[in-house]
Amino acid sequence: MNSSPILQAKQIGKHFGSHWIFRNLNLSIQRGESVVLLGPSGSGKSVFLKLIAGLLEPDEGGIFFPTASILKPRIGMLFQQNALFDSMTAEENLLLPQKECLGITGHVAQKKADYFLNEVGLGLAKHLYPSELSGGMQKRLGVARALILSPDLLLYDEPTAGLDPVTSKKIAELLIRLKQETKSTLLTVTNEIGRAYQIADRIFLLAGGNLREGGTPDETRISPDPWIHQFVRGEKNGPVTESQPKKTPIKSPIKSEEKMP
Amino acid sequence: MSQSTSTRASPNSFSFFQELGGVILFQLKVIRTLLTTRENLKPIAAQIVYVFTRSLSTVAFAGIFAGAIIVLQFNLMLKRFDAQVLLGGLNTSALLREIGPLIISFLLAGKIGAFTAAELGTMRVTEQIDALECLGADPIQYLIVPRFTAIIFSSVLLLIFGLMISLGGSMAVARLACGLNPEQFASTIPRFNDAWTLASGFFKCAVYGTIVASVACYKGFTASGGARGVGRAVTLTAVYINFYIVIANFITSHIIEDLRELTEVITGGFGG
Repeated sequence: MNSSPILQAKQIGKHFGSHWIFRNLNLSIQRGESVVLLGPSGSGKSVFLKLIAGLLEPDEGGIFFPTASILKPRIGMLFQQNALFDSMTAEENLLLPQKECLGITGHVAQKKADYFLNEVGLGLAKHLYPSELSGGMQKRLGVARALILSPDLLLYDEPTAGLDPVTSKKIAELLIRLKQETKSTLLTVTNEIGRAYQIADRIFLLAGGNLREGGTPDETRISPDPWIHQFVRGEKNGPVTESQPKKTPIKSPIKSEEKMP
Repeated sequence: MSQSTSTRASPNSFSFFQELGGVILFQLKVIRTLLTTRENLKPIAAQIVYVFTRSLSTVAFAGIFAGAIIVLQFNLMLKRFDAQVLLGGLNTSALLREIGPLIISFLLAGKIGAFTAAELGTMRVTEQIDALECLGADPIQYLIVPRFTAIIFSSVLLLIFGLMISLGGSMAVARLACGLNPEQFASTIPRFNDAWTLASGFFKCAVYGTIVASVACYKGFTASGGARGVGRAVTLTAVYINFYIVIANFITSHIIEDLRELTEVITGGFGG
């Protein structure tokens, strides 16, 4: 692992409306490191990833890429719902980023797409559309698309969510193998403790609007921090539960007067 | 009390102007991207073919019947004054100035506008647009510019096609229902239509096409809230397009007539 930080998030804050999702978050990730961000649902993990990816703007603080040659390192992202281009085949999903971002087309792009499809075990499914793939296959295609541009930083949003334990373990092993092969840096968001221990070099917990460091998987397991302690053991009572909003009436994003009959 | 009530903008009128502002800003962004980026021609051409071919049958079907209805309605009036010979000229003028552009744009709004809003809205809520951005592609250039430009071009092309079909339908009905042969029908067309009439039709079509393209792309691109949000974007696309087109019709009609009068004064002045 290289000791130079690839990413520094300083005093990050984000709010939607008058509600702050989190404030004063600080995170530094070293090149080649695999960091896992744990947290209960709704704690802002995906928002934090989107801030790093540049899809959202922070309301406070800034995100810096100290070692980047221009402004930002190349970032690959696996979305929670995969976000595959559903009008394109598996192969075309890998050809498009190469054309749009690198200007590579034709035989070279095809060869690279085939390589990554084989890497994730989808070599025989290259002509299938995302809707024709299983959940696990879609996830693997998402991983291949995130990797196709040889990114410096890979962001995985819930890479194993909704998958059966066997497929989930296989995906986690794939991520580890590809990380070793491509020597990339990983920031993974998940709330599956087992997968976090499997993937991470360092683990953080985002809960109650704050980021807590648990350290390595072994350190996290025996962390004295009551937040981390409760979360990794899945205990019902504790600060994580208390920090979560109590039962509130679900408010539709669509105004009542605009509701359809 | 009554004064404060009357001067206060209702939430609906506020949201109308808010939407209009959003559409205009979005439109400017698309035009800037179109003018500042390269390699747009191929995707634009592909989209034009797509929009044009998808709308062809609907426009043809509507064109025939629109022409036929106008012939029958005008015939009722002209028959009273024994002026059926003017049917061809009046029919073509009405089709070119008003009915053609309006029908084409309403059909485009219902078919292509709703489809575009739904397609882009689904891409937005399933994070495909975020994924595009993350992969280094500009979603405005990649998704919006081809659709936006294609809808505008297609609306003008569809007007030409729809007008020809409509004239054919009008002539057939004039022959069958009014006893007017095609030569008689065509003989008065130049009396009621000049270059201004033609320009008026194309100008209106381009304006309405721009409205369809802008609103559909904007509502789809900014959709949020899952399947329900996409449904809402599609509904609002249809509502706003029809609303804006009716307003634009009034404004463009005025502009064209004023320009026509001004041109006549100028050319008349020079002539005199």
